[in-house]
Amino acid sequence: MIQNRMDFKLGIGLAVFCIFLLVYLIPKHVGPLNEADALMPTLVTGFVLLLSLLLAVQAIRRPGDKQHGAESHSGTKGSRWYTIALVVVIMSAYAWLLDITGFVLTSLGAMVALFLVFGVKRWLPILAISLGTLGGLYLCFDIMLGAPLPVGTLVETFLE
Amino acid sequence: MLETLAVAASQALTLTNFFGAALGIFLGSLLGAIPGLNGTMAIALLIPVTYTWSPLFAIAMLVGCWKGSVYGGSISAVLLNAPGTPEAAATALDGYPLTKQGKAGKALKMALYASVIGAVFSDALLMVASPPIAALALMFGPAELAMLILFALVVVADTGAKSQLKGLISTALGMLLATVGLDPITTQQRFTFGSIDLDAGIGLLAMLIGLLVMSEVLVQMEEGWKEAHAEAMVKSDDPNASRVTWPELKGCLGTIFRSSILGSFCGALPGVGSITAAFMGYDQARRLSKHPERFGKGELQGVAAPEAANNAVCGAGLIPLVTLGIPGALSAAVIMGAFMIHGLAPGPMLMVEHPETIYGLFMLLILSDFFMLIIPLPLMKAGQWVVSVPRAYLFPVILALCVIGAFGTHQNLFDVKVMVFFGVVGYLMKKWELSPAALLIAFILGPMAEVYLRQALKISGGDPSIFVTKPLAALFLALSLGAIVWTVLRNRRSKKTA
Repeated sequence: MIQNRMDFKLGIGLAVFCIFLLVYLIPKHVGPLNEADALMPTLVTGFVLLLSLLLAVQAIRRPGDKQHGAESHSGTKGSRWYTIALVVVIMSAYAWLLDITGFVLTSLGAMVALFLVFGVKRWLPILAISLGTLGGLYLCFDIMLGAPLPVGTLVETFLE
Repeated sequence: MLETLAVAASQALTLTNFFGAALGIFLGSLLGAIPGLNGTMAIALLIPVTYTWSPLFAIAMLVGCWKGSVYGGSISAVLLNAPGTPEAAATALDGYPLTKQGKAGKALKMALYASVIGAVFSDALLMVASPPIAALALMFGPAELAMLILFALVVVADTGAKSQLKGLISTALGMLLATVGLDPITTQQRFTFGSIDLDAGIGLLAMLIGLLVMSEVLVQMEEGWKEAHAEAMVKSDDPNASRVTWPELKGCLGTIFRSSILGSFCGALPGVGSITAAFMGYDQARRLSKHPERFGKGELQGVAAPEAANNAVCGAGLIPLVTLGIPGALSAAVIMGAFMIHGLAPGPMLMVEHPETIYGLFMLLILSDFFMLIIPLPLMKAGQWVVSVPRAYLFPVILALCVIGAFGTHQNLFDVKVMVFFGVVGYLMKKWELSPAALLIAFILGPMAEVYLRQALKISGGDPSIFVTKPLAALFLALSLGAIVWTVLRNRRSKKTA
């Protein structure tokens, strides 16, 4: 019977990843394992593999800490999972859309969405803080530091 | 030497640099006071703004921010019993009871004075100890340096992870990530998957912001934060309730100096950190006190001791960074990133190649300690308002700063994607009880370790016995193994006691 499921899964997952690195990724994307370029990646991967297997073995024998172990995470409320997933989706969209819709539009959209996800319902503070932050960032980066923020291909096309 | 000091003074002691140090302290105190934010997050978010500034101005501001945040943490610890930063937890033990007695002003001022004395002591130690240590380190060859970094990595592996095994896994993963990009010796592409963006490796700043800032927001969301609401401050009729009298300060000086020594010691040792220092300082103050029974009930020494100790970590924490290129703590690792972004490679050669900059930085650090006496004062007055800023308003702003911060340094949108990726990785690491801090430090030290390891092997013709036959290398190797064994034994003992 496995005593600490989270650590067991982590150990096995890491071990599989390390084997994939040693068998495929390092030879294909670095070079043969016996060459100098591959020395460090191979050494470190071997070390992680060893430690991961140790972790898995330890997880079979030793129970997790009830307060901090796997059990503590199982209590995460579904609504929080949903919120975290939403924040990750918004941030990913923010990162990908910056190039297309530019700093101003993307940031404004992302900030408003984040405020709503965090439970802020009043539009005045949402807009005031979002516009204030964007204005501050524009002033700081674009004007003071001379580091232009992305305009966005779509906005550029529209402006032309 | 005198000429170097004169040049350093002329470069460092300018109004602009004073402003930088003062700004850092203000921002650090402000962000440190808000529960949920910490100094490392603040430094990580500020680095992108500094990249066009002079190294002295930028680094003085960032170190000022570190120091300010350590003190700022005590504001919410004293006012709310909710430490703004983890290192201020010990301060809350006696600071909050003082607030309940209507002596919040006294507690905050004692924390400030103790912080300043601790910081000055530690910075003076940094100035005195760094040159001889750097000179000694210059005598190290690649084998010694490789083993020294190995020792640092083993010690650092204990930072933030649930177990030593997970700490070592985090460290090794950091070293693996450091191999992405061009090989440091042969320039062969490694794990770039044909992407030009990965040729220069994973962007340090983007990774740092993702791992330390974005992931922290996600973790706090999962844990479900409780907004801090300051209770109405208890008023006292005592005219001395909001100030520290000379006899009170004099009575705490012994404790403050002892804690400063302890804090500096903890700071200079990689991996020990300011939380340990603060609790050690508090513990020594209680044990040596004539009235240990007063601790926990509003004893001023109980505020002074942890504050002197945790502030003394900052300056001393720069000793291994400046002299050996090894960050002693997570904040030092982030500041090491700033050194690198500004073209200063930390290590023994730093004092040889940029002595004016380093001595100038030392001067600014000591000067910034005195700024700490003045700058946080308005924050004490506005304390209740500052510590009660709702995180629902704060986090969207912080996440926007993460995106622009990651983009700002290299003007590269790929870095923003890297930041988001590492934000999720950092969150998962914390969830799986791995250590993002150890991963980050290993990522920074990884390329150096690889270069020294390969150079040593080249010198020995591929014979790994060079790490055992060279006395100093063998010593560091033995220390590394000793550190692992010691941690295993310590963990077993603590489990048995539990």
